[in-house]
Amino acid sequence: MTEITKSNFDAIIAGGGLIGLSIGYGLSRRGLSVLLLDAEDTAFRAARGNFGLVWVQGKGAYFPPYADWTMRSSELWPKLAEELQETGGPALGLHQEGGLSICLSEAEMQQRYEKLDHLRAHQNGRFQFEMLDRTALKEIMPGIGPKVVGAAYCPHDGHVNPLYLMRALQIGLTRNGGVCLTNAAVRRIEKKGNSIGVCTAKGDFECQRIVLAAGLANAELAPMVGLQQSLKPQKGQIIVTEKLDQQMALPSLLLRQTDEGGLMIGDSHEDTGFETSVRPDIVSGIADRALATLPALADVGVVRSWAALRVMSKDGYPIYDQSEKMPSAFAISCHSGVTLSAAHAFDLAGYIAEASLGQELDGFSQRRFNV
Amino acid sequence: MANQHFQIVIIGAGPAGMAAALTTTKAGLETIVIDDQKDSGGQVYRNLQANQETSPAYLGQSYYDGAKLAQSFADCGAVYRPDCTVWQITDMHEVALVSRGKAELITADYIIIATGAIERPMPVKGWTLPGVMSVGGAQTLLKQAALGADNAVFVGSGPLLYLTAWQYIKAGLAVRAVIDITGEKQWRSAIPFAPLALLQPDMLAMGRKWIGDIRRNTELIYSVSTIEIIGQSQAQGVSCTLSSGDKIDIDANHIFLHQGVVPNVNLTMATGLAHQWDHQAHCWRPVIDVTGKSSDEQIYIAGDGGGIGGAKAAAIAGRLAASAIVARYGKPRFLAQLYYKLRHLHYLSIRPFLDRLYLPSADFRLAQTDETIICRCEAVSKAGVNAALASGASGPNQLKAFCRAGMGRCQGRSCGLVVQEMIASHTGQSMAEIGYYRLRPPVKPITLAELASLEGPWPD
Amino acid sequence: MFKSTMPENGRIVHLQFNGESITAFDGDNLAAALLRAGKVQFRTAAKNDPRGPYCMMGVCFECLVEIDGRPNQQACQMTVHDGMIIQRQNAPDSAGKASG
Repeated sequence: MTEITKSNFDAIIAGGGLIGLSIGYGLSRRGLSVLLLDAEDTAFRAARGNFGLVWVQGKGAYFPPYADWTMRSSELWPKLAEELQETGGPALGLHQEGGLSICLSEAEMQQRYEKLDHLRAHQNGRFQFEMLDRTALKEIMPGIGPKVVGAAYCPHDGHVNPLYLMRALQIGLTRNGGVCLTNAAVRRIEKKGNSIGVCTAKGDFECQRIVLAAGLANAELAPMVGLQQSLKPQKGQIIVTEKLDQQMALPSLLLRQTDEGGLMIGDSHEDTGFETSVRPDIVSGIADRALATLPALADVGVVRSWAALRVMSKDGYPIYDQSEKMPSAFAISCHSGVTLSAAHAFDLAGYIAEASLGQELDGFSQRRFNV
Repeated sequence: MANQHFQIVIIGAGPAGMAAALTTTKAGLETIVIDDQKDSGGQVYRNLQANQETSPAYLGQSYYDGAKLAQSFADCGAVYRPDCTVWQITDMHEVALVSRGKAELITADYIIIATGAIERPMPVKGWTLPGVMSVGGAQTLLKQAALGADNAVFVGSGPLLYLTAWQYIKAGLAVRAVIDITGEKQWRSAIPFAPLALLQPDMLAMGRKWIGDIRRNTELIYSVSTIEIIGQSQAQGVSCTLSSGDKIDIDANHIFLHQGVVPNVNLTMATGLAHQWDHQAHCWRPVIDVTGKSSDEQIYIAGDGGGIGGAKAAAIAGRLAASAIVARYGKPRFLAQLYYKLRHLHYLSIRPFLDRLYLPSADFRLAQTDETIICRCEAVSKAGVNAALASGASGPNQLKAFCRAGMGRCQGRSCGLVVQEMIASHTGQSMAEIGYYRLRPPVKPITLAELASLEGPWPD
Repeated sequence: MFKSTMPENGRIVHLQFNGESITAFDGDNLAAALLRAGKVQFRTAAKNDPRGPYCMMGVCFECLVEIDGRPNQQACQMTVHDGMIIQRQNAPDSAGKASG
């Protein structure tokens, strides 16, 4: 059981997922005292359903600030992994040797090319990619099926074990003196003199800064600090196979092979509201596409499947906001918690420590929806 | 095959599933029975129809008692689908299954889950060595293939252990020893419930006969405090310490372990049904009412899967669930239901006694040495689980992510209860507070090709 | 060693286990047939742990073998056929390779 010996913190983070842990870790490594409040085990947890990609290709093709922010995070990732390793966490299994977006038709190839070309034009050469035809792809993935036309290869992409990342962040946060409290969903937030008072299921606390990183629950929490976050869930389903010899050297949007050898497969995007049931028809479709990509997987056993809810804003991009009413209160909502973990732990935590969001995050305010 | 609809889908063709089908088909309800074995009968009446031809006497009368039920089931008119893997029941009451490499969905008005029991894990040092089997496994070999081993050692407790050792003796096999882990403490807590158990005099008499015959034909060793299996690449013997401190070493290449059975909750949990911790039987069981209705109005659970009662209680539970469903089609059968309820209670009257007598002590529920494997699939030892606990894993699901225990193919069937109890004794919380692995479909592994073979149309 | 407790009869079929010829009866359960032939180790699990059939009811997945080139088959759930080729499943981790 965690003993809490103090009630006043430099920062309180509401949310124990990847966003909250990354920011909390980032604040703690700057010497701030951090209390991280996590909800019940049964809460909707996007982090536990994360696919584990550190993914750049295609992100923000039509929203440049997001492309820049994603690229920045991808560049910071090796530093984060190294730092977390030094704190004694588990090996994260980070690989950033590039990633593939495998196309099953000429139309998919063309679409992919246009999107990535647009991104490259904006980024002035910082973003690189290459379209691989069937022959070139076969050199990397000899087992591709006859329906595979080619792939987009992007050297900035990679993957990591999201569960180990969460654990490493938690270990790092705790090593730096931070405190994690579970079953402590936030009930009320109010001004209390020069501090902020936070009332939770596990008692009342005070802090100088509060960061709302509670995923879909941010929609209810944000108004408590004078902010608004319009969010909706988007379901994603994933299947996992038994462990195998190496099947693919690089991760793709549909399939990635973990360090342990199991394949994670999934790319569904469903608007089915607040429910996380696994649907046989959807996972069957996922299996079908995986076999079109690598037919030799036919006899491989599926050992698990699950569904989780992505945190989506109206346009799908993150929301970073600072309260005007309560200037040391921040609300952060996004999916892609693994990819953005490094930017959150370093840059964003820095802004929050200095109580002012940086310029490059200007475009991410909820205000963009009010125009 | 196109997706199909049945009024009643019964999963499992053991005594509960077969008996339920008799009642639903008699009421004229379209019934399908799906089973993962090649023949009906479940584990208890496994291979019964084939064995009737040669009728080996050593299997005992209680086995052949199932013949009438199996025959009635064969004649009842239910669609019977053996050799199928049910991998999921959706919240829309679709039953997803694989048959001969092809996936199908079958929809139902009502589903009866009758998937029976599994043996409680018995993690003693060396229990993963080839040559060590569960007693249930040894008995299956006897029923399925008329196969037995001379000079085997039986270790553990519970009716199935005595029955199987007795069957071995009657089959003319030399049993090297029976090591009984039932302790004085268990006797003391069970004795107050002996009078209630007297309502089942036949069962008590049968148990006495088995134990008497075992005593006369082999060495019966009591009062043991530690057990370990010796061997490098396969089992070579058992070593046990008596409570007197004496040590006994027995050479044996075949060692059969058993310490009771528990409801097989993998399908019911993965379906999202409510479960509760059963303090008396020390296991999880689905929350059901007296007719077997689960926390889902359309799903009933019958037989050992709803709580251990044995084959005869299971058949009555199948009747009871089926007649409750028949009543919901507007055909009430008050008298029949009352009769089944009373008979069910009667069969269960021996459970308070048996559950207490054969609940293994914590020494045998939890592993005794650090190197003992807890999770067989991922080869995680007791020390490995303890290391995960020391680094802060607070529940079974987090522990899974920390050390991989419970991540393998068996989906925790061989380690779940042990891991859960290790967490409980580490944190001081109750078993109910700790909870169990979050189980997800597929309940049994299916291949990608099988999964991909599912065809629509899909409901909206 | 396992032996028959009833007189043996039935049509003889021939199997191969790790290259060794063994005989069984038509309709035999595969795990039972291998045990009758004196084979107790069916695979190695993680960390090179030797394993063989344990539960005989499809629950424990300890009896996995490769049958006619397909890995991860539960021997206790299979019926033999003449000419069946069975390989002990040796893998650093349980699964081995996908065919291809």
